[in-house]
Amino acid sequence: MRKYETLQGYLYISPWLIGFALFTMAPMFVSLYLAFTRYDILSSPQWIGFGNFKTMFTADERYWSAWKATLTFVFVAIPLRLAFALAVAMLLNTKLKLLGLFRATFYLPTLIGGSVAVAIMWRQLFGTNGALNSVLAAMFGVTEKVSWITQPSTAMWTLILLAVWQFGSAMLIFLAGLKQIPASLYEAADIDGAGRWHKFRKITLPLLSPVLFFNLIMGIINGFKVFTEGLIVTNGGPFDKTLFYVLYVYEKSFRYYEMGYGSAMAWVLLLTTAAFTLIVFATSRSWVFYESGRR
Amino acid sequence: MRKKTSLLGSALLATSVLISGCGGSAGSGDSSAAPSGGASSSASAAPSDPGEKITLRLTIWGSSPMTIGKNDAVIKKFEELHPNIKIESENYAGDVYFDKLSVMAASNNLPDIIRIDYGNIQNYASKNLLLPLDPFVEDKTINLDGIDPVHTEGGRIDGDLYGLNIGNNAPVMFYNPKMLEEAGIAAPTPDYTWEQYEKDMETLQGKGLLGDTHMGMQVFAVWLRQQGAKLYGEAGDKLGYEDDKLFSDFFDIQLRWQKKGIISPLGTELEIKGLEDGPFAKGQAGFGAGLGYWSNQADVFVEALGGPVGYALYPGSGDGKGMYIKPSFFHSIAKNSKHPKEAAQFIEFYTNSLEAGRELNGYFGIPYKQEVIDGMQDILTDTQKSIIAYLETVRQHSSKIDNPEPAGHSEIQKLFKNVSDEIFFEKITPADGAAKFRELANAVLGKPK
Repeated sequence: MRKYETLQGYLYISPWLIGFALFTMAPMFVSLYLAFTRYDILSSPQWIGFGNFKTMFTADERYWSAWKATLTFVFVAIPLRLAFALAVAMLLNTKLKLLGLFRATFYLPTLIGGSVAVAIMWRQLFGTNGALNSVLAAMFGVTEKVSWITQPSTAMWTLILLAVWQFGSAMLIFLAGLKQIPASLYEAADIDGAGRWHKFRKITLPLLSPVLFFNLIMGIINGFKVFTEGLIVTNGGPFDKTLFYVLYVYEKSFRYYEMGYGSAMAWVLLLTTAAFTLIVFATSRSWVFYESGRR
Repeated sequence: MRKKTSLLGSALLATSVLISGCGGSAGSGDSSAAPSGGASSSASAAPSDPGEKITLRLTIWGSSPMTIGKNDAVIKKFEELHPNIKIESENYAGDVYFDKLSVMAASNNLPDIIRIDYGNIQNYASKNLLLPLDPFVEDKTINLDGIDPVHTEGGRIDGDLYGLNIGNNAPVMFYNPKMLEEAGIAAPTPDYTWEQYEKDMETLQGKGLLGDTHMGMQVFAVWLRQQGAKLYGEAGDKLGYEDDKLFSDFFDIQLRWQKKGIISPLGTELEIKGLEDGPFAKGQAGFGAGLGYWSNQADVFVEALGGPVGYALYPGSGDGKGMYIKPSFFHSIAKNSKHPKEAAQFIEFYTNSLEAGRELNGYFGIPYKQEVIDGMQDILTDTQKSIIAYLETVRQHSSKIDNPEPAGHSEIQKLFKNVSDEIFFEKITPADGAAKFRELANAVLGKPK
């Protein structure tokens, strides 16, 4: 009898399963095959074994620029975004009258965030004749017009800012997590004379750690996948300062007709992301506390 | 019993959801704009009879309203003459165009008529994606009688004609005649030197204006030709110049201009997306050479500046070694097009018929069939007449165009830009940049194809 129920279940999810198999799993396996070939899209792939990987790690300067840009982004933007999200969540964790309105407003950037339209707008804002320069001129009398998105020292920061601006989704999750912390704990701490920082470190953070863990993992994975912003706002420039890994994959595969190399790069990215995720999981035993007491 | 019925019910439900879901996309955010699936022609591959409806697909490069409008006008005229043929055109601008073409090539979905440029046609022909046009030339579907071969030979690769040149073009340095006059600068002649160019830009700076922008790879290629070298070697497997001083001189000069402030700041230039965004188009600079403009783009600047523009050879072109005439685009037929004869008819109409010529008015390049030029005299705008005159000047001061760029050219363009930006942001010296560019470019060119 249970067999019928299992079968029913599979049938219900079959549309998604078939889609997944055809459009996600199958291409992944093809890409694994392509990673060991030279494939210029216009003619058939030629097997070259580990050639792509060899070139990648020994003969491609731009490859390391891509890693540098991506890792900078992951290690700066993600923590900043989470810190911001937590700070705002704590601010909102009070009995505000317009709480719903504030929540929605802060969440809005995330909704529209990953899109091309916002990236184009961001480029406008931080360009030579953009809004930021106008504001600086009007409010601070700064007359020199800097192009924030094309200057080597600031280009990456405009992109980091764009990522941090989309803190809304992490904030919502933090807010939900905060609300679950029993008020009685804070009251007990107050009675014992604990200060704000102490309460934060000893109560809020540990009890929020599962949520933090989740946001961190998601943030890291999404950070490694950053693409749209790099393409639209700075196009990887200037001279590859913001050449995100996936952007480089795109360039190599579609612009320079090296799909095999791009596939190899994609698999290296997958393995690296998995490695980072595993590291976070492994360390989680020591800093993530679940209320039930055990994982 | 109940369990069996509900099993059947869930099976039906799942299937109906599956079928209904088939229509939409996977929602992964992939946005391929044009619904190119619709057009593909009917099953018969045999030559069609007049009664049968045929649809041809055409891809064009460009996104400005003028580009699309002129193209559609020609299509309409063609469809009037051939009521059984319908042409669907898709347009993409910039780098995206070639990205899209390569995806179409990979999925065996190339359009019947492909607009392809000199740089890419060799790559596509060598990969066996294009149909040789010679049979159509022989049976006069494409009528090349009376046409100087110099106009059509650009499309001939390894003896076969793979594309028909849709119009001639040449690199050009635009200048703003009013601005130059007000600044007291004489209009450039064919003997214009680099020294005079620098002096004139300084004069403009004195009036609070800019001279020009930094020089891109297109100008660099002409620069090399002026010094007797080339950008790529004959076989396309290494750079065409041995002396790195040619590279570092090119950048030393520009660094000097940059320090003097007579060219626009690099930061502003990096933000430029379209033709209308450059300092010349915005009326801030007196000359427009650095960004690599072409003679057929004159209309855009005439409109942007609200008045006639001046056309000049690049500085240092007096001895005729540097400049060249180039086919603007080719029309090619995809190897697996189901209606090659109709596609050839359209190609012929577009390039060699007077009706099309009158619609296009030289927008995609100057026509080269004498009857078309003659028949257009009454409608040629001043701009077109100026362009034709300019092309004649170029013809007198030019040498044969370089071979088509090798397959790694777009990557090398990017590498050149990267090194060039590094030099201008003063992260490396021109001498180091020369060595770096050589190393990177040779690595790309040396790859087995």
